Amino acid sequence: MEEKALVRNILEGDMQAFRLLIHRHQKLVTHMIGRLVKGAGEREELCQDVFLKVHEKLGEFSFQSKLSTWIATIAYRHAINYLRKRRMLFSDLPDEESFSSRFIEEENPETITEERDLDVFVLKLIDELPLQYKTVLTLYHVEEMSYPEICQVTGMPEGTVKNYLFRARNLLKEKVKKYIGKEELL
Amino acid sequence: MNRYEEDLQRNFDAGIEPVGDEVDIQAYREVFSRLKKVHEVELSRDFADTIVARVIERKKKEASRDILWFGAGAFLLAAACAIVVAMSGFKLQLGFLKNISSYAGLFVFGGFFIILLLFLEKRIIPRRDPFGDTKKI
Repeated sequence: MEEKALVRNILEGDMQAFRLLIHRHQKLVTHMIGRLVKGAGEREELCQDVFLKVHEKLGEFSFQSKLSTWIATIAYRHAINYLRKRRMLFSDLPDEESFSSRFIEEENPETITEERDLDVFVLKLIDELPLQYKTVLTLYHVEEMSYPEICQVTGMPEGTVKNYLFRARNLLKEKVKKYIGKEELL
Repeated sequence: MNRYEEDLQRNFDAGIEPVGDEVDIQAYREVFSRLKKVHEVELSRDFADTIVARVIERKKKEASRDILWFGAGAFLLAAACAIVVAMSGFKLQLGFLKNISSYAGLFVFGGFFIILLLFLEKRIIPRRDPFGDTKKI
């Protein structure tokens, strides 16, 4: 079903159409929430809350962007509000220099020596990145959004998005470089 | 931003094999090939049904809240009227209706005309809706 027809049907009270919308966008929402919120127990409820908000606000959606971008914006803001309410770590980025050197130099024995699977290792590293870095990585690489779309979701300027993306990949590369070095020594 | 690193990333992003330090390239290759992966959040099988049930529940609550507010408003209005009448000794006088009783036909026509205009506005005049096409509402 085409996006406009889907939205129209939902606004007319068609719950099957709403189920279809949930089905189409649940991966996007779970990826956003899954990346930003660590507590596995709360994730499903947060995902439900996002779709409830989508249903509540759908009448305000004006098709100025893709529906997925609009839903991602709601998911992002919902996750941020949740983290703020729980006083979980969500503030401005830590000082770039000190964070980068700490992130690269930190020898976490659990991740470096015990993690034999590079897939899992990289996922763990991404989890340790600042929230802003994780967000742009997810939207760009997993959801394949363009820079303007990421700007719309996060409210960050395009230059900042590009910068965070660059820094995040650079940090991951440095850490993987160390990992590969250790692997060769073993 | 570091120009060398930036070029490496841009090439990987574009799917072009970059030129540079072999260790850096290998590390970037490993990173880029894994950036699309995520921890999948396991959702319950009735995920969509639960949301739909919550929407229906919310609508019911909103409807009963509306009825409650309407009832409270009507009650307060009636109470306020009763208090005002009791305190001011107001007596209802409908004598003015006698002056317009000879124009009853005009008032009936006026009422029908307004209803007709509202009907035509709803049924005939097309309105642009947020979906981008014109729709008779």
